[in-house]
Amino acid sequence: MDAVPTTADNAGSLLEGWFHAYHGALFRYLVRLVDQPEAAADLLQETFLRALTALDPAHPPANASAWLYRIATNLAYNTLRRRRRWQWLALPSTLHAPRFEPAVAEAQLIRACLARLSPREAEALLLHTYAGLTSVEIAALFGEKPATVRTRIARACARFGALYAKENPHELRDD
Amino acid sequence: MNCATIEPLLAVRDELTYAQAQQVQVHLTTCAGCRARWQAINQARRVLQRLPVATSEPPARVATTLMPRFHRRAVRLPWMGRGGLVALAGVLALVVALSSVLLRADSPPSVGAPADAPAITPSAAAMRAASAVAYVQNGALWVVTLPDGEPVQLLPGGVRGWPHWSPSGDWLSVCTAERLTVLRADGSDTRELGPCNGRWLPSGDTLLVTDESGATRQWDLATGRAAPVTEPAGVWSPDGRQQVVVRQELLGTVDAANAPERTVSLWRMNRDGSDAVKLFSPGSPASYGLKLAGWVGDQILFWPVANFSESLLADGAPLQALPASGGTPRTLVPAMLTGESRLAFGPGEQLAVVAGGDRQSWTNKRIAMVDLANDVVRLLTPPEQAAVMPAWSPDGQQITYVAGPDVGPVGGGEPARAALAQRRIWTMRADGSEARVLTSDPVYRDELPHWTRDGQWLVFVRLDGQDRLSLWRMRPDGSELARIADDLGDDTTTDERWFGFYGTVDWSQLVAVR
Repeated sequence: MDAVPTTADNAGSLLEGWFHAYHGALFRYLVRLVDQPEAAADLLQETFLRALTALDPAHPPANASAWLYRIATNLAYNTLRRRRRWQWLALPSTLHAPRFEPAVAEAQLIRACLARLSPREAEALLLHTYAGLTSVEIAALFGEKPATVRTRIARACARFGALYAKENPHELRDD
Repeated sequence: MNCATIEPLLAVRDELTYAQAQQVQVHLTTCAGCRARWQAINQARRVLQRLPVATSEPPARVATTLMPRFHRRAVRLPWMGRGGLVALAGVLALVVALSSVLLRADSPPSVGAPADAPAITPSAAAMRAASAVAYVQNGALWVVTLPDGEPVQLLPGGVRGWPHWSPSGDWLSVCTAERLTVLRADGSDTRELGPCNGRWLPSGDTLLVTDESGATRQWDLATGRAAPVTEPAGVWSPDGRQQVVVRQELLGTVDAANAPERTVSLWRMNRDGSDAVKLFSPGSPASYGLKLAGWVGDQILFWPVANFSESLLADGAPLQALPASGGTPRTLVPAMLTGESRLAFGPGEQLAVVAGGDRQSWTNKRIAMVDLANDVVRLLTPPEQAAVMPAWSPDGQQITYVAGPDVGPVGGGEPARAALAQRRIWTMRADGSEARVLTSDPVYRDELPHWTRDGQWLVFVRLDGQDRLSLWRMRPDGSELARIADDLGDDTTTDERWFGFYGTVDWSQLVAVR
C-alpha cells in the first residue's frame, strides 16, 4: 500500500514545484528591487522559507506565483526601508561600497522613494509595475475589489512621483 | 464618468477596454485636474521603468539550502528540549575541556550594551543623571523624567525614531526624516550630523557618523569638531581603547554553487586604527562570515554566519568566543538567535543570552547565563516557557526578561498570537533562583523591559488586543505600576504589528531609557 503523504510532504512537494517554476523570475525581480544579487538571493531563500511556514497544503493559494511575489515584495520593501533607518547595529561591508555613477544614483533614488511609500501602497505598486500582476490579480490576492486596488496604485504612483520630484526637481515636469 | 470613477483607471490604462479608454480620453480633454493627475502618474511610471532590469540567475546555494527543507519542518534542537540542561552541560564540559585557559582582565562592567554595538560603560555622570525615558509618539520626540515628571516635547514632528542616549545621558540622538539629529536632553543645542547611520562610542559623548559616500567621521559633541575615521565598524574593548573589526574581500571567483568566494578575517587595532593585528580567519576562501557580538573581559564574541546568509542566520547561530590575543574560537552556546535583544552584558564577565534556534520567538527560547570568568553556562528558564529580552539590573544582581508559554513551532496565526499575548515581565536572581512574574494584566502583552541607570525603575512597553502600544514604568518589585504614554508609533506601523518578525518586534525604535 502506498504511504499517504504527510502534510509536510505535500507542502514540500508544492513548494519544490513552485521553486522550479518561479525562482529565476523571482530572483530577477528581487535583484531589480534591492540591487544587490547576494541580498536578493537571501530574500529569495527567505521567500520560500516563509512560504513553507505559511502554506496550508489543504488550501493552496489560487495563484501560487502571485502569492510568492507578494511575499517577496514585502521582504524587498522591508529591506529597502531598513536601509533608510538609523543603523546602530549594521556592520558596513566592504562588498557593497556606495556607487555614484548617474544611472546608479538614479536607481538608488527610485528605491529610496519606493521605500517611503506606505506598506500597502508599495505592495500594490511593486506587484503591478515590476511583477506584472494586473489589478484584478492583485485584488484577488488581497481579497479586495479591483477598483480599490486600482485607486491605490494610482495614488501610489502619484505619491512616488511627488517624492521623486522633491528629490530631483528638474527631472519631472509637465508634458 | 466623473473624476471619482476616472481616478482608478489612470494608472492601469493598459488594462482598460476600448470603451473605457475612450471614456477616459473624453474626460481628460474636459477636466484639467484629472489631466494633470494623469500626466503626473504617467511621468512617475516612466521613472519607475528606469529601474534596471536584472538578467542574472540565482546562485545554486539557494536551491541547495531549500530543497532539504521542503521535505521537513523545522525541529526543536535536541539540546534545548526537556532535560536539555543535561545535554547542554555535556556540550559545555566538552567545550571547556577543549578550550584554552581564559584570559582575564580587571575591567569595569559593561551594562546593557547591545549585541553589535560597543560595550558601553556608563560614566559616573550618567549614574547621577535623573531617570528619564525618551519616546517617539506621532512623529514627535518626547522626554519624561521618572517617576512622575511632565512629558516634554523636544522635537515637534518628522521624527522617524531610534532614539539613543549618549553614554553620559546628557545628549539624545534620533533619526529625523532621513537625517541624524542630536540634541541636549533639555531640547537645546540641536544639530544635524548627517544621514541616519551612526552610533555612540562607549564614552565621551562621541558619535561615529557615516555619510552617503561611505566616509565616517567621529563627532565630539563637547567641542563640536569632527575627525575622519579610517575603520569605524567593530566592537570596542571595555576600556574603549581598542576595537575589533571584520574585514571581507571578494576574491573574484565563485564556488561550485556559483556563489562569490571571499576572504574573511578578524582584526584587533587601536582606536585610531594603528597597530592592527590579525586575530583569526575562517580560511580563504571562507565558508562562513563573522558577525561581532561584543567584547567581554579579554574575550571577543561573535556568531559564524553560515553561507554568508542573513536568512539562515535568522534561525540562529552558535555564540563563539576568541581570546583578544588570538587563538582558536570556542563555542559558548550551541545555538541562539542573533541581535541586540538576544544578548545582554552583565557585571564582570557575565552575559545573559536567548538560547535556542528557530526564528519563531514563541518556541524553543530560554534565557542562559554565560559566565566567561568561571567557564559556566546555565539555562535559567524552564523549557515550558519561551523567554526573550534579558536585561540586567545595574547592580548585576537581577535579570529581568519576558516570558510566555512555549507553544511549539506553530508557524504563526492564532496559536502564536495567543501565546505572545501571554507574555509578561519576569525577574530572577542572576543564578536563576527566585524567578517571579511582575506583571499580570491579561489585557496586555508586555515586552522590552529596561532598567533605568539608577536601578530604581523598570520601563517596558505593552501591546493590547488592538495592536496599540503604550509605555509603562514600575518598581523592580512590580509595585507603583503606572502608564507613561499611549499610542506610541510612527508610519511604519502595520496591520499585524503583533507579529513583527516571528514574534520579535523592534520596539527600541520608539523608546530609550536613561
